[in-house]
Amino acid sequence: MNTPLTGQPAPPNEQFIGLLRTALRRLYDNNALRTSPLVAIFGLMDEPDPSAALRQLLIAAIRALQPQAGTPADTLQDVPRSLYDAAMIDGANGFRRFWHVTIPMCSPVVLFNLVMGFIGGFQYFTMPWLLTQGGPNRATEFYSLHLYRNAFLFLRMGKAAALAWLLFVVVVVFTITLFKTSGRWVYYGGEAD
Amino acid sequence: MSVITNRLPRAKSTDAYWSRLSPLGWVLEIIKYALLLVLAASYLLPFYWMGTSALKDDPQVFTVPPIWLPSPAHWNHFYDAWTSQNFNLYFVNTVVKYAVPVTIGAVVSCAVVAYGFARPKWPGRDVLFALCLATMMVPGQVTMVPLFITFRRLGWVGTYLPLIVPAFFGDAYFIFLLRQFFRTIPAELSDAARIDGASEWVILSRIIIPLAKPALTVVALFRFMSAWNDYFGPLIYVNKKAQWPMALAIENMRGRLYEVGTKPLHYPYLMAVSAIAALPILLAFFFAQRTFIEGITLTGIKG
Repeated sequence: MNTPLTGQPAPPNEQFIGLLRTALRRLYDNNALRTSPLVAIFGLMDEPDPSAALRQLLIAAIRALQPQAGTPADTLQDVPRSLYDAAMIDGANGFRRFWHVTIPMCSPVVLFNLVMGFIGGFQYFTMPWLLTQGGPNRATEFYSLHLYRNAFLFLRMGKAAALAWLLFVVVVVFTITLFKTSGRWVYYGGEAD
Repeated sequence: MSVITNRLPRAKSTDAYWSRLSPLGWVLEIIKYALLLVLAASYLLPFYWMGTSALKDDPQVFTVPPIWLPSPAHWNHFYDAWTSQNFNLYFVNTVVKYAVPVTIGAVVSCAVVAYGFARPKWPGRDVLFALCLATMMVPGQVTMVPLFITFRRLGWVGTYLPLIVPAFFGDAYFIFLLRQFFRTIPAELSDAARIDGASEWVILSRIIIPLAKPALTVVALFRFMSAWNDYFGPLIYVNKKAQWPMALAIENMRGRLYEVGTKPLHYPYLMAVSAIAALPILLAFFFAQRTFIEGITLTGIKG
C-alpha cells in the first residue's frame, strides 16, 4: 500500500478507472485491437499522436459527465403536462415544444450543470493523470496537472499556490458572468417575477 | 380534451405510433436505435467485460479476440475471491463507518443550507452563496495538505472522522443542486403556510422537504456513491487495515498484481470483487428510480 506524502506522491486514484486502464493497456498491446472501433469509443488509450491523445481525453471527459446528465432527466418528468397541452393547442411541433417548454422549465438545472461543468472542466485532473500524465509531448498537460506537478513533484509550493489563485480567479469570473446572465434565461417556476 | 391528450407525444398506445410510420420514418427509427445501442454499449461493455472476466481462468482474460461467453464459467470465483480476504469486514466498514453517516450528514445539512439560500431573503445572502460556491473552485489537490495538517492537529487521523464530520457541514455541490430545485417549488405554498403561522423550520420540514424528495434522493444517491467509490479520502486518513473500506481493499488487491506477477486467478478475482462492489450501487439506483418516476406534482398550483 503506498502512503501519501512520502517519496513519490500517490496519484489521486479512482479504482475503477485504474482497473479499466490496466485492462485496456493489456488489450491495447495486441495489434489486432489497435484499430478496433471499440478502442475509439472507449477513448482511453495512450496514443503516440499528441492531438489524438488530447482528443481522446476530451471524449473521456464528456463521457464522464454522465451522472450530471442524469439530473435534468429527473426534472424533465416534472414539467407540467398542461404546458405541453397549451403548446400543442397553439400548434407547436415536437422541436418547438422541447425548445419553448422543456428547456425553459429545466433551465435551473441547465444553469447548475453549466456552472458545475465549468468548475469541473477547469480542474480536469484524474483522467489525464492516470492515463497520459500530461504526455505525449505535453499535449495533455491540463492546468491542474501542471499545478500538481509544480507542487508535489518539483516542490515549488509558492508557484503552485500562485497557479491555484490564478485558477480560482478565472473560475470565479466565469461563474459570476454565468450568474449575471442567468436572470435573463433561467426560469424558477416557484417565484413571482 | 381527450382528442388532444391522445395526440400527446407520450401517447398511451405505442402500437398506433408504429403503425403510422412511413418507410422513411422506419429508416429514421432504425438509425436512431442503432445510435442508441452503440452509445449504450459503450457504457455497458466494460461492465459486461468485468462480469464475464470474473468467470474466466486467468489466461483467458486477455485473449484476442475476447471470449464473450466464458466456458467453463467458474461461478465459485465470486465466493472464493470474496473470502480470499476479509471482504465482509471491509464491506461493513464502507457501509457503517463511512457511506451511511456521510449520506445522512449530507442530506440533512445540505437541505437546511440550501433552503436558507433559496427562499428566505436576508442581507448578505447572495454574497455568502457565492462564497459557498467558491469552495468548489479551488482544486482538491491544493487543499489536501492543509486539510491533512488540520485533521492531524485535531487527532482525527486514523479514524473516519475527517471524512464524516465535514459532510455534516454541507457540500457546495449539493447545496447548489438543492437550491436550484427548491427555487422551482411554488412560493404560494410556503406563503400559505406562513399565513397559518408556520416558522421557517416548519415550512422546510413540512412543505419543502416532502416536495423535494426526488432531489433529496439524488443527493443521497450521489453522496452514497461517492463515499462508496472514494479511494483517496480513506487512503489519506484511514491507515489501519481493520478499518479499510472496499475501495482500499480492492486497490490493495490490484497493487499486488504487479508484485506477484501473473499468479493464477488474480484478474478473475479482482473482477469478481469489483463486480460485487458495483452491485449495491446498481441496486440503489434501481430503488431510487422509483422515487424519480413518482416525481412531484407541482401542478397543484394554478398560476
